[in-house]
This record gives sequence, C-alpha cells and structure tokens, in this order.
Amino acid sequence: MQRLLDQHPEFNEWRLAFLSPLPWWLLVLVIALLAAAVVAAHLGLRGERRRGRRVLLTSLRGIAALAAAFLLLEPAIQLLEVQRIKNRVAVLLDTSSSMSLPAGSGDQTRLESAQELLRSDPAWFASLSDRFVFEHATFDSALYPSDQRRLLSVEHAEGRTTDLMAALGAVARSSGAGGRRLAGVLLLTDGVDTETLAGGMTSAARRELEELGAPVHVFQAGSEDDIKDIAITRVEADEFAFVRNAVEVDVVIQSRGFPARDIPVVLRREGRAIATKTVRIAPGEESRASFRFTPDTTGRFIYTVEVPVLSGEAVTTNNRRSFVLKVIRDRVRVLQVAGRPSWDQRFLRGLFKKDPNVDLISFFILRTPRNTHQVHNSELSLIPFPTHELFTQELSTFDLVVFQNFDYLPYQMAQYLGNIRRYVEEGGSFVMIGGEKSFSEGRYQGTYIEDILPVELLPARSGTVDAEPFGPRLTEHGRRHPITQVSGAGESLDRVFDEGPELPGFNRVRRVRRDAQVLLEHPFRRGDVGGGAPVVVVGEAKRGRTMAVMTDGTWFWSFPAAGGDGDRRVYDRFWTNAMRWLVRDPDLTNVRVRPRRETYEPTDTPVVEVDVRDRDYGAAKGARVRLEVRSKDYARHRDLLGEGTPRPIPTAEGDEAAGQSRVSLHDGVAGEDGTATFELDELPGTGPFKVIAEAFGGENDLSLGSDEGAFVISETAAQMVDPAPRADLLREIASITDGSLHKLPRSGIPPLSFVDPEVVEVGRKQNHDIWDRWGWLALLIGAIAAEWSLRRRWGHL
Amino acid sequence: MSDHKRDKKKTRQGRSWLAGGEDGQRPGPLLLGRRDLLRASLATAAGLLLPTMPARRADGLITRANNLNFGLLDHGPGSNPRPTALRRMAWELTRRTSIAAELETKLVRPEDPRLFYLPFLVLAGKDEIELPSEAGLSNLRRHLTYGGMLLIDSTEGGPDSPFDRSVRTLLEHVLPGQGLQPVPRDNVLYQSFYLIENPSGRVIRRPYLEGILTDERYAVVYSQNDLLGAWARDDLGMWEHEVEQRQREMAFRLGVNLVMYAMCLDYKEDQVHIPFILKRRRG
Repeated sequence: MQRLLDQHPEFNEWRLAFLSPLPWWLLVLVIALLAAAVVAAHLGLRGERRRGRRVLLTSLRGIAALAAAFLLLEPAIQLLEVQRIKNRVAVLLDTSSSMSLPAGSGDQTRLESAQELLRSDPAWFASLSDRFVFEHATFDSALYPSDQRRLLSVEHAEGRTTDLMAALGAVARSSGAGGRRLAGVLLLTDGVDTETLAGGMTSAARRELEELGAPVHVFQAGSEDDIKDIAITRVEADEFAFVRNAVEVDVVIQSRGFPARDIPVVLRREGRAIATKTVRIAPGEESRASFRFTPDTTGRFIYTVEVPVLSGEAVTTNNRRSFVLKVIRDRVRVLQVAGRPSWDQRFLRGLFKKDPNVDLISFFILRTPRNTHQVHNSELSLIPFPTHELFTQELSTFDLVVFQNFDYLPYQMAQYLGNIRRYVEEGGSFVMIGGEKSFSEGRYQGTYIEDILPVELLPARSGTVDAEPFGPRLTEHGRRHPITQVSGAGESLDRVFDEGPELPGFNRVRRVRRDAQVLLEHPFRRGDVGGGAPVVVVGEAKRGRTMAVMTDGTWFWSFPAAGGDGDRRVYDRFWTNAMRWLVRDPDLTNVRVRPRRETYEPTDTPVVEVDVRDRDYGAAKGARVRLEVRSKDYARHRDLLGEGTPRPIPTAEGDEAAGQSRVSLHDGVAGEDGTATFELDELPGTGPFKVIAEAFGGENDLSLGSDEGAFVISETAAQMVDPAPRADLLREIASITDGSLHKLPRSGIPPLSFVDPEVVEVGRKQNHDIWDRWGWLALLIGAIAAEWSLRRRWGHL
Repeated sequence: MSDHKRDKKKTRQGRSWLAGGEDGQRPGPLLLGRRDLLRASLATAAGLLLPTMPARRADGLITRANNLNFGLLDHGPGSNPRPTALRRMAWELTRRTSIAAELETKLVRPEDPRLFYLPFLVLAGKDEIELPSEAGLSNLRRHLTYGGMLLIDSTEGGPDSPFDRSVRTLLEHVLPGQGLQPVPRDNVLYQSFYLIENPSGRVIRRPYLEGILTDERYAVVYSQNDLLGAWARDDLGMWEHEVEQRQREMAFRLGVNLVMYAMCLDYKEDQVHIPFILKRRRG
C-alpha cells in the first residue's frame, strides 16, 4: 500500500472501499444465498464416508462463494488526502509556597523535583510531538500561561493559595492555539489545595473533572511521610460574641512527623495570656483544644492562639494564629438598686422595662428594720437582698449599675464597694441618683464609690440635701454632650430646660473632679470653681464610665411635664442617652474606626475607614483625623523598621496597651460624609495590628473623640497552614479523569495515555480497483468446475 | 427681684398647700380645713381660668416630691367621705414599709395641672358624681396614660348604685373603650408587698377588684368594698367603723399593696421573686 501511496504522493492516507452499484439489501441477500449454498453443500455430503472428500467439496463451494461475493462487492483501495490536527497536552506546574518545602529528606524542594522530571525526559516530549502540542503553565490561585523554558527556570514558589480546580478549569476553557482539543494534563503539584478542594473532593468538582474529557496524569511532589510540622489548621470561633456571655473557641492542631506528646496551647487576648490548655498530639492526627472565656467589655479585640515550635518543623508560622473577635452586647443589662420606693425610681423602672434593649434587674428596699409592724414572712412577698450574690458573682454580668437614693450601710455592703469600683474600672458603668440616702447622705464619702464618682463628696450628715426647687441650667459641656441632647426636632435645647418643670432639690457635693464634665448646673447655688453647683456630672474611671445625678427629681421631666407644656419625652431621651453613653453604645461615639476587613493577606493593602461626627452628631466634614497603627510585636517590627522604631508605649501594668509599639502614624481629613479613609500600604510585616484614631474639629481644633479597631494580616499563607501533600486528593483526580498518579522525585516520564488527535479529510480521493482482475473470475469458474467434476466422479450428482 | 428670691417666695407661698409632717409622725388632724378648702378652691379657679398654664412648679410639693402623697379627686360635695382614711393609710405605710408617705391628703380638681405631681389619685364617694369638664377629662386621661394611678372606692354605694354608674360613665369618658374588668387573682397587685388572697374593705360587696389595664399595668383600680371606711380612724385613735379585726388588717394590706404597685409596678413579677412567692403561697 505504501508503494501505491508513493506512486501518488498527493495522497497521504488510504482505506478499503466497496464500489458495487447494487443496493445494500440486495448485496446482503446475495451473500446470504451464497452462505446458504455453502451450508447446503456441506449438508448434502452427510452420506459421504470419506472425510477428505467432504472437506474438499465443501471448500470448493466456499471458494466459489467467496469469489462470487468478492466480484459482487467490487472492492477497491481508496487513496485520500487527509489532515491530522494535533491535540494539546497541558503541563501545569504548581508554584504555590508549599512547593518550596523539601520534597523528601534531602534538600531538593518539591518545585525542584517537579522541574527535574520535566528536564529529565526530552525524548518523551519529542516522541509525542507529531500528535500533540505541549502548553505550559504555572498556577497557584489561578493559571499563568508560560513556556517550557520559563517553567524550568522558576526559582521561588510564592503563591499563598492553591486552587487546583481553577487551574484545570482554565485549561479546559482555553481552546489553545488553533482550537486544539485537550488530550490530557500533566499536573505537577503537592495537592495542597486551599480553595475548592480544601475540604476534599466535591460533587461539583467531580462533575467538572468528568467533563474535562481528558486524563489528568498527576505527579505528586513531596511525601506526607517526610514532613515534620505542627500546625494550627483551624480556629473555630464566631465572628462576634456577646459581652459577659461565655465564648467558645475551638483550636484544631495537626501534627505530622512528631511522636505522640503533650503540648501547651495558649490563648492570648491582645498579647496577654488568658488561658492555657494541654493537648496530646499524635502523628498524622488532628487534636482539639477548646477554650471557654467570657469577654467583659465590648469592642474589637485581637485573640491569638499559639503552640510551641518544635525542633525541625518545616513551617513555624503556622504555630500561631490570630483572629479578631467583635464583642457586642445583646441587651443592656441594668441593675437598679433603690433605697426605697419612690416616684423617681418608679419612672426609671418604667422606662427601662419598656425598652426591649434593656434587661433590667431591680432591687428595691421595701422594708427596713425601722418598720415596726411585724408580720410573719410567709404573709409577705419580700425576699432577702442578695448582696453577696449580686456584688460578687453577678456584678460583672451587668452593663450598668444604678444606685438610686440607696444607702449601703444598713445592708452590710461596705465589703462590696471595692468590687463595684473594680467593676467600673474594668469597663463597667455606674450611676448614682440623688435623694436623702444618696451621695454624702448615704455616707459614701471616703469609700471606694467616691473614688469612681465624677464628684467629690462632703462629709456625711452635713446637711447636704438642698430642698430649694430650681430649674437646672445647661453648661457648655451639656450643650454638646450626647446625654443632654434631649430636645425634639427643631426644638431649642436651652428652652427644654428653661421651660421644663423645676426640680425639687439637689444633693450638694464638695467639688467636681478635674477630668469630669458638668452637664447641668444649679442656677443659683454656687459651685466650687465658679458656675453653678453641679447637678448632672459625667466622668470616667479608668475603663469605665460614671454619672452623678444630684437630684431625685428627673421624673419631673416625665410625669409633671405631661401636665404642662413640657415634653415628657425629655425624660426618656435623657435616661436613654445616659444609658447608651455609659455603656459606650457605638452609635453614641463621635469617632468610629472601621477596618474594611478583619483579615488581610500580606499582599493586600489594609484599608481603615474612620467615621467622624461633630458634637451635634452630624458628619464632621473636614475634621482632622490622626490614625495610629500599633502592634504588640515590638521586637519583630524593630527588626523590620530598624532602630528608629519607637519604643513600646509605657502603660500601667496589666493595661491592654502594655507592650504595644507604634508602627506607623497617618493623618487624614474627613470627607463630605465625615469619613476619612486610610490605605495602610506600608505596614511592616504581618500579624495583628491595633488602630487608634482620634479626630479633631471645630474652631479650636479640639478633640472630638477617639476609637480603636483591629485587623490581622495573615502570618501564614493558607498554603502553609497544613503543607502536607494530599495524595488521596490527587489519586481521586487521576481516577475520575482516567489518568494516573506518580510520585516524585523520579526520572523519566512513564507511558501515558492521551486522547488521540482526530483525522480530518480535507482534499481529494482516488479509487484503485482490486476486483477487476481476470484471476478472480477464473477462480470462481475453476472452483465450480472442479466441484462439479468431482461430484460426478464420486457419485454425488 | 432676683430669680433666687422670686423662687424662694414662690416656695414659701406654696408650702401650706401640701405641707406634711415628718416621716413616722403620728397622724394629726386632717388639714383640709376652711383655709385649705379656700386655697384649693382658688387653685381650682386658677386652673379653670388658665387651664394650659405650664406646671413648671408645684409650689410646696417638691420638697418631698418623691414621697407618696395621696391626691384626692375633688368632684364636688362628697369628695372626701372618709376624711381620716388616707391620712391613716399614709401613716400605716410609713410604719409597715420603707415608703415615705405624706400624711396630708391633697384635694385636687381634675382640671388642675398640679394633678401631675400626684401620681396616686383617689376617687371616693357614695353618690352620683358629676363629669369633670373636658379639660378635666383630658387631664385625667393623660395622667392615667402617662403613668398615674387612680384608686376608686365606693364607700356606701354598691353595684349599680348611682356612684357606681357615674364612675363607669366617667371612666368611659376618660379611657374610652377600655372598660373595667375584674383583676385576676394572680395579678402582681395581690403580691406587691403582702400576699393577699381576696380584696377586703369595710364591707365585702364584691370579692374582687376591678381595673383598667393600660400599657400592661392597672392604671385604674375600683373597689366597691369601702376600703377607706376600713382605714378611717379618728383623732382620738378610735376606728370610725366597726370592722372585724382581720378584715380591717386585710384592708390595710390591700392599701399597702396598691401603693406599692403604683410605685414599683410589676417589680414582684421579676424572675428573682417568683420562686419565693410561689413557695410561700404553697406553704
């Protein structure tokens, strides 16, 4: 046949063709008759005893039938001019960072072992070049087309994530040069997928692989048995938690290559260890450490879990993991303690009870030892005042404690006042409301309570209750402070107090603390440093906030106001504002820090937005904003930034800011919407960062307030969280696609199956008859004649 | 005149209207004498003439504004059928509870804006009462809606008496569509201080109280058992009406509970109290 093709060089392919003009059914019928004639001949010879004769006669009939069929079918050699389109084979090299780890016990990396394979067998590529073209690409989270030379010269595997399905999908979608079909894939990877297949094979991925229509031959770089690593692979924690409610955090630790042993797992909040657990690790197994803790203040906090770095670990950054926990409050939990039933207490309870956001716990002293009428307890609904339980065990569960005309002495509470101070200083809030049992009259002078109040008290029993009615007057602070923003829409704030009901009297105090703010003052009783005597004062005690209301008549803004022209909602607004300010409601802060995300990759640029509101809570357009970025990891950032790095900020022992260092300082201006946006593109290194913003505005460029936020720049690439090769996953990919799995390192590529290229007829064809020869007819006649002659001779005719 | 002086003057002028004794003081003569009535009448007249006058100050009241001060609704003749009763109840309150109660009862017209310094009102009578003016009805409506409480006590009349009918008419005008309903026995009102099984009074005409529930609290409570009659005691310490001792005691206990309910609302329904109360009721 080659000779025929050589004689006709314009053709490059041949095939057998049948040129009979008869319809196919007639040909089938004739061939069936010919076969029947052979069978009939064989059956007709059953009487012949000699086997040789039977065979010979049947064979002659068969030869005659074949010759007849051949002549009927008219076979020919058809010469064709055809073209074969080469299919493509994708060669994909994983360049994610886990490929930089050792492939085995030696120094060769996984990447190098893959490159060595490609380099080692040029003959294999050459042998397939007539049928296939090779398309090269690297990949991590996406596919990057390349060529063989560049593939072999990649030095660093740096991709932080791997998405095998994204790479294979991109290969499948690519039509390649000239619309070639995908014949197969050479996948060189360790299989450490961090995206679609991070949790294993999925049904969607399985369908996608089946639809690939080409085998994936996987060359696995690295071995699960050779890696030594302890990794925190997962931290299972909610994105937010409720303050004073227990939070559970589960830490999943993967151990490889180390014998079973106990290791400590430390949980830190803002750098300070708050809990340690011991877990037992075993090679190839996951261990869990569960932490349960109760956040005591709201805000965004950086929590870090750590395990020790053991000798010989492949990756050390995955021994530590940080996350931001947003601590919010579900409902404001208020403890209201009143020294006796009063209208002031009644209206405050009524307000708090109807507020669905408040969880109110009230304790009112309904009877004292001075009440002489005695009845048996069984006839009363009274319960003991649970001072010990409230002020030791439960105190930290409250957001706000209200002492309303309450004197502590009759209830042996002196021992608990220190707890209240501590509670406030650690972030709680406290209000003392006036009356004949409050402030100096309640003998709080010189107690722990006085330490946290925003006012200093006069000595006890010095006649500190002034019963003269008065209309309180707003101070300059009061005009701006959120608590006293009590006017309705379009209503003058001054008018609210000028024309509202007069209050029935007030508790005198010695003086206002230096850092406290007087919001309302007495119109004609003098204060200690000019101005009126303080009536409503707010202040801060370390991390907590306190308020002193030196009157028991604020309810006059509610009920009596309803009888005149006053707006009874003033009362509701005043106390709602007060509660929200005291518990640091985020909506009542002038400055709010909002990191756009809580976790960034090192390649990302962290963006922090700072919302600034003016004193009147409108957008503070043009406000100056200073943003400070701090980190706990002073030593590491000093190395990164050099010796000029500021020293850690000196703070009190135990303070959350202790050990923090400033890593950068940024200035910005709030836009039309009161938001200043900071792109922090020059942060050194990775890890958790705190951002503290302070805004300044107004004519005197005074501070409008400050706020804190937090974000984390991942220290460990997702790749490095658990960098062990995933042989099971790779075997599954190969199996689904009818491919194969091979382990690296190895030299030489084994025989692999690929989808062969299709042949396309693109030109002429020419028939060369092979039936039109005299010999075929002679054979037919000879066979018939011989059979007839022998039958006659042997008596079968 | 400076503001200071003017305020002082106002205070002095007003003190006599609602002046009261010290806490724990034994009850003295009721100070609703001729002068008081004259002043009250003048005040009422002022209220009628200037019904919208801002109530910036309730002269003389605010020195003990947080104390319980019964406000007796002046509905004309017969407004105070048991003149010593509320004073006695106030005294009992200070003896039995930590509530600071003013011994003097304040007679106040519904139209008077100073009504709003008296969250606890009492309406007592035996005969038919006249409907207040529109301003009075409006004042009462706002008083009860915004947090006040009204105790109605029928001293002589019974069910379907002229007083009873006129009270129901009044309430229909003050709180339209919210008719009186029996107060359930398990309501916190019966356990706000004492654990009470049944309401009491000088007589037991109705073994239950009626009330109007507004904003999840009883703003109006109506007793037809002459509650005030059981409390009344003259200046010589003699009970004004014959009542069985236990029944009288239960009438005082009901009074205490009503005041406690007005001042503490549903405090005794807080979760922390419930186990104790259930245990005592069972025991």
